[in-house]
This record gives sequence, structure tokens and C-alpha cells, in this order.
Amino acid sequence: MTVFKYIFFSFLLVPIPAVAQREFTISGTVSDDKNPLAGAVVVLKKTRAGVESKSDGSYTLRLPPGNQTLSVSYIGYNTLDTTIALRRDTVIHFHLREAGISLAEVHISAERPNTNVIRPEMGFEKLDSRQIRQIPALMGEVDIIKVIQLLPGVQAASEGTSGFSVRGGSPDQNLILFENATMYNASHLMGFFSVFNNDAIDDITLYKGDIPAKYGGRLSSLLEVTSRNGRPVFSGSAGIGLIASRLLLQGPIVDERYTFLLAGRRTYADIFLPLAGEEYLRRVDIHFYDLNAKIQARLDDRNELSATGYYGRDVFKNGDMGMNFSNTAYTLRWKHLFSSSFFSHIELIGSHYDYNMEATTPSLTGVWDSDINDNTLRADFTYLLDDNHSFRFGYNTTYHRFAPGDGAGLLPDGNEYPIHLAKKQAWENALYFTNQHSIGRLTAKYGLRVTRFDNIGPTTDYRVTGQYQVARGDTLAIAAGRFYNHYCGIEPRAGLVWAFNEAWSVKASYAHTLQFLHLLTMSTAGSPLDIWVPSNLSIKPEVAQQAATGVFANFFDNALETSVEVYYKWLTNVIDFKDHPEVLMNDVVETEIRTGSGRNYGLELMVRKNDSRFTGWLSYTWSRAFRTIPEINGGRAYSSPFDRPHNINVVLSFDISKRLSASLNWIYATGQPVTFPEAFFQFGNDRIPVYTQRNTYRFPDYHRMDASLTIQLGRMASTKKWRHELNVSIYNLYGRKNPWTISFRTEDDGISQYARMTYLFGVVPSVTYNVSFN
Amino acid sequence: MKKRMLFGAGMLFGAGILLCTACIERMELSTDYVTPRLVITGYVTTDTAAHSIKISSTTPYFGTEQPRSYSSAEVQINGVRLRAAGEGEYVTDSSFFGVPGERYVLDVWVDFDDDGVPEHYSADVVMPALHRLDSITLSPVRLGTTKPPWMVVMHFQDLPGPNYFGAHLYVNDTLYSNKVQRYFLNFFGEYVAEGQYIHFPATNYSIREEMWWDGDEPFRVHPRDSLTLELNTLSVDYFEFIRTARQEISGGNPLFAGPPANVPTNLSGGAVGIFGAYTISRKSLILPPEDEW
Repeated sequence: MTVFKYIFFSFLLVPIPAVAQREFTISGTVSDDKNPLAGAVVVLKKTRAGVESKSDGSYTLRLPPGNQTLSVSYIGYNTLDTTIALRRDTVIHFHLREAGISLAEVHISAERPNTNVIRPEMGFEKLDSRQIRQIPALMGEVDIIKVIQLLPGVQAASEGTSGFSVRGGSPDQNLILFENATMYNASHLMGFFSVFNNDAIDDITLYKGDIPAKYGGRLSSLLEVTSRNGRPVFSGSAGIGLIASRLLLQGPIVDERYTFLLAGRRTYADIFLPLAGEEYLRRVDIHFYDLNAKIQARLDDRNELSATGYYGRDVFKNGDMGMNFSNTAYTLRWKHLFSSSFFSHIELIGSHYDYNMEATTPSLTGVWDSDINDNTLRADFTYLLDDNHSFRFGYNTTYHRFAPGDGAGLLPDGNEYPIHLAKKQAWENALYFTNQHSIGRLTAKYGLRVTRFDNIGPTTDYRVTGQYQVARGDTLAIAAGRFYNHYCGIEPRAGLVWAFNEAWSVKASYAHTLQFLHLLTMSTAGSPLDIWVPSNLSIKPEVAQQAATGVFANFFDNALETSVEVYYKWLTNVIDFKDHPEVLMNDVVETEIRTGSGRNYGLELMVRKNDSRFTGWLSYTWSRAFRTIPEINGGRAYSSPFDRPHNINVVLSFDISKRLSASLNWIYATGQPVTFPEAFFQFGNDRIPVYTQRNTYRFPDYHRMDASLTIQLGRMASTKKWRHELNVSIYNLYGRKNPWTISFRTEDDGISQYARMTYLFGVVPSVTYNVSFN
Repeated sequence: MKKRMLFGAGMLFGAGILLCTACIERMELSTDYVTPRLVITGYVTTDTAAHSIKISSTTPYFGTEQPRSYSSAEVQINGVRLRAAGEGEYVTDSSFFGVPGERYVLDVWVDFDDDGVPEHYSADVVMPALHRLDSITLSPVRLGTTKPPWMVVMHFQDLPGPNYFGAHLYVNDTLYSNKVQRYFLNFFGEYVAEGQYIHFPATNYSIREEMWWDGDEPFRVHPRDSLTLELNTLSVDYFEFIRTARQEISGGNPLFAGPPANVPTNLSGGAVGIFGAYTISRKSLILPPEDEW
């Protein structure tokens, strides 16, 4: 019952809002002939006060009664002025007409020009799909996670991988949500591509620690990926690249109120492998594909239903053995407006991840399966008291089911040896509220998230002793449906912004986050076979507290955004592994885990240029990340694998002409910490390395430049039905050899040793042809 | 067992796919000088033979410095003094053999820090139960595109465990598994019902015309060669030493390897190395004639 007490008292703490003066609400959508327009500005003409439309084109404005003239504008469209006699809550849908410029030629921002200055969140980054598409991509495959890795405070976990570290945290400390469904493995092809097809993405938002109270369950960051809505006219796009092709179709269903979107892509290296000369290669099947689907129904002015689905699968086979893994996610959403100032999102969400391995030889037949299932119900409510005051609250509940592994090996003796690791179930419940209030120059946002995490049978759990062993009698067989262990947590979140004016502000934030699910991976890069385990009798929730402050300033009418942020993060119950752990297929992984504390701190500088032919950003991050675990490194603090002090990112895009645009990015990062041998001893014919401390050396510094050129083909008229585009990109332009791994060999003299590095990519050119129609 | 066989193969396959696109290049790298540590290595087996203990020091990883040997140490097993055989090696009498279930204590006194006073180092180990090989057979296996090789299958009665197994391979009396990377290692834990009769493939040993060896030169096997498999039941410390030594020698790739760490030791006093024990049971066969390959 304790959790309910927390929830009850937390609501008592919510300030009761003052009663606002009598106002009416104007709400509706802004769209062009085909699409909702995100970021359109709806203002009261005489005061210029107003709002911007959201990603679905919706807006809400509260005004006093009487005749009011509204001005609706959007870059590239003719401004629309209209006067209304406001006597009651009113719904108005605005339709704007293009001003004769192609959409592809203007920059679309989904935020107010000075959002970075005035919003009470820090460590916040938002990018739309067009910005993402402009950035050069590995093998021409546009990848949102590779773009995330170019932001300050974010670094790739390893060369080429989709895993990323935020402010020194490990990749499993990032909550990756696609339409609020958790993506447990956001990677295709061993991490070289993410599961997100940019064609189907509207925008992405990254919260670097200052995570809204609405979300929880991870320590470092929240990456929110929003699916694109289908357009109300039939249209589509396709792309043909070196390794994959894509197709997107969208349009109305029956009438404009109902739309659909379908997007898919597939790699095709496997199609050509049968033509290879080597018999081995002819037997190899390696490919991935993914599908996105979304149906949206605007039932009336107050109700909207949508269903979003994702399925992606990777296959690796060589005839005798192979593995595959897949992600499945769906979100059913009901948006309801109780009134123009009070609305809700009710969501039913499913997320599934599985992997499978199999081998079939005359001497061995074996299979291995593992999966994770989440079923979630979310209810989120927003109450807009007035333009300066909003209150959000909600509840979410998730039932987790983990099947770490089931398999069997069939040996020549005909005997089958089954392996069944204990399944685990957990139920995670959270209530939250967030109150945002602006008083003059001060905006405060504060909230509380109250969480309860229950372990449920049937399962087998263990009590691990202080020596990390399972004592006799401490293996517990838990009956089905029994709630046998739980953790409760209170996670306060707060943010303050003091706006000196429209262009300058200072901010501060604090966030307390809990993590109940842990990724057991022995690698820094992550692999599809990594195991997620819930907190249980022996594994306590990981805890992080982050305090941050910063100065934000915009110049030249918001064309130039700058910011300086500093943060300090305290971590407890942070997980690492003992030396030489046995993690995979181990029923008692608790004995392999060691826990301790951590501290991450750093400074992030950002200069971003918007709204002209020349856009991009320059960022510098100085950050440190250390762990202290009694059983590791002799109890001394050591660099976490993600401690990379210096990081510079340069991302530039230039519209050379209406037809031609160029992009270039350059990345520099201190090499990742690593443990190298300092001595060796001889054992028979082998040399056994000897180490002193963990992570005291570093890989050589990482740097890389990528470039791309996009050429619009054909005629440029905005009314043209078909549009063609050719994208030429070069990954690693100057051929930097960044080590992926470093190993050691003995010289020909049989005495001395030397190091050799494996690097994954030289200069990688690629060409992608894109076509769209409407 | 599947844990070692199938999963290991799957891992290597995935890594292999990645590495086939990768490039390898020599690079300049050096690490700090560290204070040398005493090294003691040796083991007892159930074979009747002179068993040796070697005493030396660690040397810098990069460089040509040779390890120092200690030839004036006092070395005892179960209180029986070993004879110095030169270059830091100490041997038992040739009639020595280990007995399953017996505890063996190694004591070493050596002046490692050159202060004129010998320091004491020790370790102890229990000889595991002997698993007797009844026979070995060859089973054809098709992996990838290679010509069908033979896999050696061991047939023996499992004893109550957990048991830690290793196996050496000899071809015409030449030891093929003369490095830990080529040594077969396996653990029979709870996944195998104790007391079963086991027909277990030694997956390290795919017998083919050209087997993996050092450098570019393969290890050549011919039809009608004599092949001997030596089944070892290892003491748990020795098993862990070999298992982790294999990891450390091979290095790793970022997808599957954890951070490097020192190979564990059962020696006291800050020494590195191992004092192990294992049983030995051997069986031989003759490889099939050429027309059956």
C-alpha cells in the first residue's frame, strides 16, 4: 500500500491553479491542400501573441470574447488573416496555400524560433526528418541514431554501431521509444543501421537526462521517435540505394478523415550472394527488412484514433547455422478532447523482441530462442489552464515478460539435451504529474513520478551472498502469480528557466531516475544476443540523479542559437561485471554482476545556425564518466567504457542552388578507454598477458569526415507530380583508419609482441536515387 | 555443452561476417613499464612421470626482454622436495603420479625481491575423479564449404559432477593441442544429467587434410594416420585458468568481448600462474583410407 500513499500525497502537493479570467478557446488544425502543417504560427494580429501548430497540425489558443483577428503563417505559404466573433469555444481549421516555392527548398521547424531559450527543459534536442535526411549517411542509408550521435553529449558506443552513450551513460540507460513502444534492440545488421526507417519518421526528440516525469525506467536519456501521419492525398516515395531499397505509400481511406501510411525497406545483398564464386558465400543469407504502418482516423473534432505498427527482422545464415532477430511494436492511440483545454491520450502498446539461433550438422543439431515481451497501457492527460500554465498527469502500467533462453542440443548419440533458463515476469506501474507555470520571466516545470516494480512468479530466483554465490537453500522456486519482491521509487523532476528577454535565458534542472531493467552485455558496442534482466532479489534498481544548469542565447533573430550546459550525475547500484564473466545462457547471472557507484560530469557547448541556405551546428563536449565498484580494479575508481573527455561535432548543410545542396560533417572524439597488457608470462607455448588496472589506456582518437551532395532532378515546379533526387555521399572522406578493435601478435622472432588494429571502414562512397509523387 | 558448441560457433559466425568487411593493420603501441611479478606454473596428472614446476618472472609486454628464471628456489609438493633441473624448472621423481581425490599442496620459497630472504608462495589442488574413455570414433561433419572433415567423438561414462573437461589431440604422437587455443575445453554442469553415458564430440578437433596451425603453415593430416585423444578431467582452478587464458590470448572484438582482465590464479603471495591437476585417459584409432574421405 505504500505506493498508493506516495501517489495520494504527491497529488496533494500539486498547486491548485488560480481561476483564470473568462476566455474562450479557439482550436483546430492548420494544413495545406494535402498535409497538416507542423510549426505554423497562429497569432492574434494586434498583439502578435500566439502559438505554433503541433506535428499533427493542431493548435489551441485562448482568447477573450469579442472580434479577434488571427494571422496564420507558415514559411513558404501565403499568410492568412481572418476575423472571428468569439462568443464560445470555437473550432477553426485553416488551409494555407503554397507561395510558389517547393517545400523541399524551405527549412521547416516544428518549434518556435526561440524554443531553445524559453522552454524549461535542458539537454533537449529535436530534429525533424528533413534535417536528418540532409546529413551524410553510411552506405547512403539515412539513420536517425547516427544523427543523434552527432549531438553534444552523445557518442557512438563503438565504430559504426547504433548503440549510443549519453553523458557517459551506457547504451542500456537510453529509453528508445517508437510511438511510446520500447525498442529493446534498435539495431539492424549487428548495429550498423538502426531499426528506424527515416521515411516513416516525423521527428525525433532526445532528452539528455532531464526526462519528463511522464517517462521513466532509464537513467540517461529518452529518445522519442514519432511516426509520420499519412497524408490525405495518395502519394508516395521510393529510394534505391547500394544496400537497400525503400518504398512509402500514403493516402486517404474512403475520405480525408482516414489516412494510412505504409513504409518498408529491405537490403538485398543476399539476392546477389548466390552469384558469388565461393561456395561458402553462395550459402550465406544475410539481410534485414522492416515495415512501418500507420492508420489514423479523425472521427470528429474531439476524437482521433490511430494504430501504428512496426516489424523488423534480421537474418544471418550460412547453410549450417545462423541466427535471426526481430522487433515488433504496435501502438493503439485514442486522442480525446474533453474540452479545448483538457485532453487525453489513451494508448495500448505492445513491444516484442526475440532472437533465435540454430545449427544443423551431422554431429549437432541445436536451437536457441530468447524473447522479451512488454504490454503497456498509458493514460496521459493535459490540462491547459491558460497560456502560461499547464498541468499534465497520467498513469502507465507495463507487464514485462522475459524468456532469457530455451534451447536444445541433439547429439550423435540421439540424446537431446534441453536448456531452459527461468522465465521472469515483472509488473511496472507509475503515476506522474507535471506542472508548468510561467510567472513573468520565470517558468517553472516540476513533477513527480511514483513507481512500483513487482517481480512475479512463476520463476526461479536466487539470493546471492556477499561472496556472489548462491547459498544452499537460497534458490527459490516462485509459484505462478505470486508477487514475491518489489521496489518502490519516487522520482522528482524539476526545471527552471529565467528568460532575460526573448533571446537570453538561464536554466537549471534536476532529475531523479530509476532503472529496473538491465542489459547484460559484455561488449561496449552491444550485440543482438545481449540479455535484458529485471531487478530482482539480488539486482537492485539503478539510480541516477542529475543536476544541470546552462545559459541559452539566440542571435540574429534566432538564426543563431547558442548554449552552454554543465551537468553532474550521481549513479548508484550501477552494474558492471566481474572479470571473465559468463553471462550468456547462465541461469544465475546474478553471480557475475558487481555493483557500485558512478559519477558523470561535463560541459556542452553548442552553436547552431538555422533558417537560411547555410545551416548546421558546431558542438564541443567535455565529459568524464567514472565507476567505483569494490570488486573491480581493486575498488579504485576507473573510467567507464564511455569516458571520452573531448568531443567535437561539426554538421553543415548548404543549399548551393535550388537544385543542389551539400552537407558535410566532421567528428572528433577522444579514444575510448581500454585495458592493454603491460606484461606477460610464459605458459607452455603461450604468452599470458598481465594487466594492472582497468581502462587506463585509450584507443587512438577517433575522427572522421563525411560529405554528401543532393541533386534535384527534373523540373522544379511546385505543382510537378513526380520529383526525383540523387544523393551521393562519402562516409569517411579522408579515409581515417579508426580502430574497431586492437589485438596483439608475436613477431617472427618469436619474442617481441606488436599491436594490430582492425578497422571497419575506409572511404565508403554510395549513391541513392529517391523519387516521390503526389 | 550446447553452451560451448553451438553458441560459440554462432558467435564466431557473426563475428566472421563482420570481419570479412574489415581491414587489419599493424599499429604503433606501447604500454607502461610495470614491476615484475613472480610466475609459478605447473600441474600434477594421473600419468606416472616426472612432473615439473617452473618459476620465472613476468616481462614487459612489448620488448625483447627474456623472463628471469629462478634456479635456487626451494620447491615442494606435499612436503616432498623437487629437484632443480635448470632454468627455473623443478621436477618430481619419475615415479610420481596423482591420485583422484588426493589433495596436493605446492610450497615455493624463493628470494624474488632480492633482499636475501626467501618469500613463501603456495597453492593447493585436489585431483578430480578420473573419467575413463571407453572409445573414440569419427563422425563426418559438414561445415561451410570445406571437404567433409571428421569430428572426434568421445564415449565415456559421466560421473557425478559438475565436471570440467579438457582433451588433447595427438596425431602420430605429435601433440596438436600444444597451445591453449587448440586445447579442447568443456564444462558439464547442470545441463547434462549426471551419470549419463556420454557420446561427446571434441568440437575443437575437426580432422581434415589441413588443420589450423601457427602462421601460414597448416598442420597436415593424412589417411591412415594414428590419432590419439587424451581426455582430461580438470581441477576447477585449472579449468578457469585455461578458459580465461584462451580469452586473453585471443583478444576479442567489441561485439562479444568483455574487458580484458588478469587470468585468475590459485597461488598465494602475489604470484601469477597456476598449480593445477588433471586426470588422463587415452584412446587411439587409425584414420580411414583416402577413398573414404
